Amino acid sequence: MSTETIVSMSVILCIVWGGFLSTVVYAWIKHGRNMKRDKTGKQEEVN
Amino acid sequence: MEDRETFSSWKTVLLAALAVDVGSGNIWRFPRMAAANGGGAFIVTWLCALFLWSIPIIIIEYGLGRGTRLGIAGAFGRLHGKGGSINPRYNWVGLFIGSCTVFIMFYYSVICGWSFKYFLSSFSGSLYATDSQLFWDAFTSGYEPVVYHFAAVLMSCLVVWFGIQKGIERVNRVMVPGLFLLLVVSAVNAIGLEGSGKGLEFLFNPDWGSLLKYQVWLQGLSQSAWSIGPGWGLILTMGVYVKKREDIVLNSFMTGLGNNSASLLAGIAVLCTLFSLLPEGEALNVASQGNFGLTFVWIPKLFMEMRAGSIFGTVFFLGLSFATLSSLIIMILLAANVLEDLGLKRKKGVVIVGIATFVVGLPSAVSVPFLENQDWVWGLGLLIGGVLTAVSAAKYGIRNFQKEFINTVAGNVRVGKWHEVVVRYLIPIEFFVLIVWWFYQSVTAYDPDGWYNPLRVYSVATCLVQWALVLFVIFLSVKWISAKVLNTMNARNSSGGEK
Repeated sequence: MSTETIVSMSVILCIVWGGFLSTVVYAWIKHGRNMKRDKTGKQEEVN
Repeated sequence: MEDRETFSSWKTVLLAALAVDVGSGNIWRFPRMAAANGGGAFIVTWLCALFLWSIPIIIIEYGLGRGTRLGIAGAFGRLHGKGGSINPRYNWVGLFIGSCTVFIMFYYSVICGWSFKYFLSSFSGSLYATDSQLFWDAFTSGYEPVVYHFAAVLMSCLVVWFGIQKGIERVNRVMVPGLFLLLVVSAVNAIGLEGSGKGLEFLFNPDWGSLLKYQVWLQGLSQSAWSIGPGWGLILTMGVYVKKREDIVLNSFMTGLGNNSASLLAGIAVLCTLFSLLPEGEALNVASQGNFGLTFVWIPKLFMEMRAGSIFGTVFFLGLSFATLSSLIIMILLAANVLEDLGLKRKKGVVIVGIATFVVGLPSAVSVPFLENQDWVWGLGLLIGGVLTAVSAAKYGIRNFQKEFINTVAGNVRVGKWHEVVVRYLIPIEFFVLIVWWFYQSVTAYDPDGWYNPLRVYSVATCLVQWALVLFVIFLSVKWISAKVLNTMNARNSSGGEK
């Protein structure tokens, strides 16, 4: 494979697969943060 | 009145969205389009289309479904209705979009049945015992497609029958990760074949000169529109079942990028296999065969020549079965959702949809040209669905739409100016250019002698006549449907809020 192919393959895969995986990880972290906030909020209400 | 179930978490929403989007368009259309349009250059245009057509429309669909809590039978009318009413002058938009998707569902179940047949035949080895062209001809000329069509309808209806959490979520938890795993296995196996580098070279090496050809841009756009399916109403239907606080913009990006990830895996699997087993010229010739020719005739032939080919053939066709079945399930949900909005109980609606899908799908099951005609007519109809969705939001006022339907939850990803510009200006221009070009293709390339004949498979006239018939029926019934949906909506509101 030529260097040009390797470079363009890396860029395309980074955008598509990298983009997909990073949005999934971001959603995961955000969900965890929301859950923690909800839990803390409920605890504060009880107190 | 039954309360609407919602998806239990963001993960199940993502799985369902991927189940909707990743279908036959990824597995058989993407590799073929990439091969026919210069590989790498095509991928550049296809990526641009993701951000300039598909994702902006998906965001609108999610927002509309979540905001109105109505499926395609009422969402557009509700958007433009004053004082909580449903405006029939706009409600026809959703009915037309729904009709396109329902007509696709009628033949899509046949394709799903073909996938089942090929998976089982590959598993048993009978697929490789005879010439693949003879196998295909014998299969499609007999009664078997009807049996497999029935099996596909039955399985999908059973899943929808059990509801969102007990049916669709459970099945998707297995099928969607399973599909990705099968695609990864197929791609890794293909890369491991001798000479597969030529396939990667072809798929990823961009011929920058090709970017100056308008066809490459139009094919990139049409592939994104077909594969991700903005304007099908399916994401809108899913939006009805997501929680109010769901991050729909983030979900749209995950869905679009996830769909494209699956397409790349399929492209690597198919093109590396083709280029490693055939000389370059022949590989390109094979890749440019029609959808069915590549998948159901050439792929088995190639697996036959490969070491442990029957195992990898089984993996490939199981992946195709998962992809088509998971999309069919959401199509059945869309149709059942329409009947639910008209006041029917969900389970009763599923039975009616199942019977209708089987009966109306029969002509496609017994005649491949009929199926190809339906694919051509309603596939193009979806482009209209995409632009109608965007224009409808623009007519409402895209800034107001963003404020009231999309940017509603603090802390979620928001859309702004870029989305407004794309929806208001770019999408209508893209649509106009694309539809003119498709009709031009029909007149000059697909059917130059019979483009004016409505009885020809790929004619312009067949599209116009079938769309006109559907629109005629919609205009006769739109007032009645709008009134029925309004009654259901009022009954639902008076019996309790969202879960």
